[in-house]
Amino acid sequence: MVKIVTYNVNGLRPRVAQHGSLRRLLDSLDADIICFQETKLSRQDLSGDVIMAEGYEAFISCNRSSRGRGPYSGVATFCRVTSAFASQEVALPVAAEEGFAGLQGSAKDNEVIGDFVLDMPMDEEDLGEITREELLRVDNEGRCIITDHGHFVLFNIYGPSIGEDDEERVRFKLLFYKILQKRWEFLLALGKRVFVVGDLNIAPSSIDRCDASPGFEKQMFREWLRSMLREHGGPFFDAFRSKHPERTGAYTCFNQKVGAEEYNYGSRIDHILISGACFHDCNSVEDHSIFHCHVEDCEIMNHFRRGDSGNISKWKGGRSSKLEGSDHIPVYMLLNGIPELPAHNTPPSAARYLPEIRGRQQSIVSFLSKRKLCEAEDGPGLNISRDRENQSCCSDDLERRSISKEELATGITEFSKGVNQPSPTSKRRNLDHWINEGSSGSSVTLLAAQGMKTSFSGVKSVSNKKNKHNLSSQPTIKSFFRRPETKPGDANINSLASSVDTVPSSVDTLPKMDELCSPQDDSLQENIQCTAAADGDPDNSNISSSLSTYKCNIATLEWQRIQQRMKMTLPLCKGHREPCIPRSVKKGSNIGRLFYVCARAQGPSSNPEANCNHFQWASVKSKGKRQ
Amino acid sequence: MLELRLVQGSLLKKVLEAIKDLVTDANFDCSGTGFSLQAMDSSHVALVALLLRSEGFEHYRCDRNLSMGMNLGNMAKMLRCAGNDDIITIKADDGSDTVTFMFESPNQDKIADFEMKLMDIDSEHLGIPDSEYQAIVRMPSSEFSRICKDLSSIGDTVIISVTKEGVKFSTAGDIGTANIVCRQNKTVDKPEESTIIEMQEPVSLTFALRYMNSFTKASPLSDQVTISLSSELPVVVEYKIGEMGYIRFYLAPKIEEDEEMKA
Repeated sequence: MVKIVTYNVNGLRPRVAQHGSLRRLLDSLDADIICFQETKLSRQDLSGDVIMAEGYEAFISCNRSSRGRGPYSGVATFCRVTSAFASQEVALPVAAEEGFAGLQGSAKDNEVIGDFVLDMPMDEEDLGEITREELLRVDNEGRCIITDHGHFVLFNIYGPSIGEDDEERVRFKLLFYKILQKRWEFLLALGKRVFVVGDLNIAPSSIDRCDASPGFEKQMFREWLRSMLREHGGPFFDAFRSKHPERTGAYTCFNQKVGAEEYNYGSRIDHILISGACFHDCNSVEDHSIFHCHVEDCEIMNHFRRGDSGNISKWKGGRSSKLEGSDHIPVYMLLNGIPELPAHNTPPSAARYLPEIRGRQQSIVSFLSKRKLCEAEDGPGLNISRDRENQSCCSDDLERRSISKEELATGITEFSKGVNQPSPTSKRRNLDHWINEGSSGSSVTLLAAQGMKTSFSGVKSVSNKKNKHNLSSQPTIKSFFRRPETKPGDANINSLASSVDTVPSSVDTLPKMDELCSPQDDSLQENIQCTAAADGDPDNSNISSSLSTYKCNIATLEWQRIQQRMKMTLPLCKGHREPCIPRSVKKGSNIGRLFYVCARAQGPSSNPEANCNHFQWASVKSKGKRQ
Repeated sequence: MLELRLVQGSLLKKVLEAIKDLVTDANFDCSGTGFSLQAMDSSHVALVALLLRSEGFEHYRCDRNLSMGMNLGNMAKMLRCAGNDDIITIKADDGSDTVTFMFESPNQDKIADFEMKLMDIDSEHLGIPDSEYQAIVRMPSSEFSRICKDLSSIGDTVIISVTKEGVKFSTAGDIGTANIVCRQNKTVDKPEESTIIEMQEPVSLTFALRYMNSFTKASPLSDQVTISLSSELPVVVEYKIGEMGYIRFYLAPKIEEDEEMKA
């Protein structure tokens, strides 16, 4: 069994941080070959903690062009092996190459396929003349890693994402895929099996896109991708679609700007394409292929979707909560019956041999000759060589170091988690709890507490069910200010205020208890504090303190009223009568002008729960001339 | 008729730079007591209150209460045309749809008039209650600004905790965590560099750094910032404007929503 996973990680560092370590991230995908796209690593700041994991060999390509602010693009292939040397595992490649045009430095000797050479300059229909420089530019963005696993050649691809009207990038993308296609055809002609995995940034058909318009499939790249597929006369099987021809709503990528996860409003652009013959000994081509005979399954790993499926938190205009994780979902393919390879070693282009990771071991000869040079030239040369030395011995125990760093980091997060659960929250909850009791005069019931909590999140309680899982949210000012004016009378204010008193003062008298409770379960704490408050009540006739707390409560109530007001003055959207979120015009003649839109996540227009497209300008206009 | 002459015109310039990113449009209210503003940010989460008392102006004439709606971005553009030493005079006629800013150079050899259109802005004045706070921290405004900026490169929120030992600012993000502790320090030579903590009881609250960072734009107005915290109230971040007034920012704490209802 060989399991291959493709995953656009949207930044490898954040994903590593999310899982605690690279090793845990890779293990959670549980695959023999893991292909990451958009690693957003640059060669300058590569470090062991994002590249080296015990039990995996890495092959990486980083963006070398100046495009994009900071780290951009980048792909990495991780191979799970028991031994990096003399291994028979299929997962360990026999050769690897960065880029696809055979022009990158590491590929000078054309390891993967000895004699793939592009004649430069060359002509390609639709593209005109292509120069070597142009090709190198396409190949320089860290979008491809090729690994030769003996039985098959694996392309890990991050396809360019482009705006339809950016001519330069359209040409770029076209060139990218045309050259790739040339290389695939070359390999296939040699009788190799070719696997293409990655984020191609192309959804082949309407069924792969949530809001496909009628002309969707006409677009040039979608036509090209389909032409690569067996159904349209091409060499490849789209492993997922071929296994699940009818499945709709199967998406791998969701626009983070509109909260597309919430209503499964995405597209399927992460693919595993596979082509070539099977391992069976038979000559009839019909019904025999690597896909038919060896692909056991291909699925989208939906449990990797952001915000744990099932209780995805409400999007609320993207302000309230930052969803953790990538905006893509991994896809896996399971192959069976792949035979082992003869024993082979990790190819020299593996990340373990990168100077950034490993450091440079200098030969003693070069050291000695440098010494001589130094004597001739004085100081500076000596310093350099010393630095180099340090570098190389540092990197020796790099792996160990990165592990201890990891432990340290988790230690810190755990610690800070503890710190992050301060009592004020629960105190407030208690307080509101008591306010509730005071004003309604009813006994404390769980129901009251529930009602109160829903009002906390600041949206109508009906629509609010999913909402409670946001770890922390900016309270709508409303939450502060429940039922300000509905107090029946003065007497009630007093009772309200006094019941409010008990909580803070009882907390004072019982600081130890408070401490004891805080790390524990919320409900327990609530119970203890409730009883404490009840017990404390008679003892607490300390007039001066209750006076000042009384004053404080008045202020609190007043603030609650103010914040309620503030919230109420936000425009409501027409679809759900919920407060809108503000946006401002980013370009054009109205630049800087404020407007309000529906706060909900984008979804299919048939779903009334999704964004209602409400739009309104903030109500400000120039004063007209007054006569 | 309204005529307000402010000798230290740079104060008004700094005020506008402090609030223009938080609030797009706002009404300036002029009365016998002073020139003031109260406005919410566009998402109605934070509140700004500005007061410039009439005594602070060299000349203050306000015949009747007047409310002038202005786009703060445009107003800031105009005020940027004033030199730092210029005297600024704000003039408006009753019922006029424009306001005039007059800039005089210190030696009176240059006088500039800028007239700006007013806007109609619906806004409602909120009575902000006086309250007592559980903890009040006074610290150098540059220090606070630096802390907010540094923390926002790590996380989205800051937890401000005040204890007897000092005030702690902490955050957590994808790449790690950060904690900055400032201890009480009254013994410095210059009072503007001191950090003073008045605490009735320990308090710990969470705030969105996005807002805190935009509050710190007011740092040029004052060497010291005052942060007032109470567990039931919005935080107040106050910058004094010389002897003549203040700018206060109010922000409700973020609440950790409970996990308990999941069950």
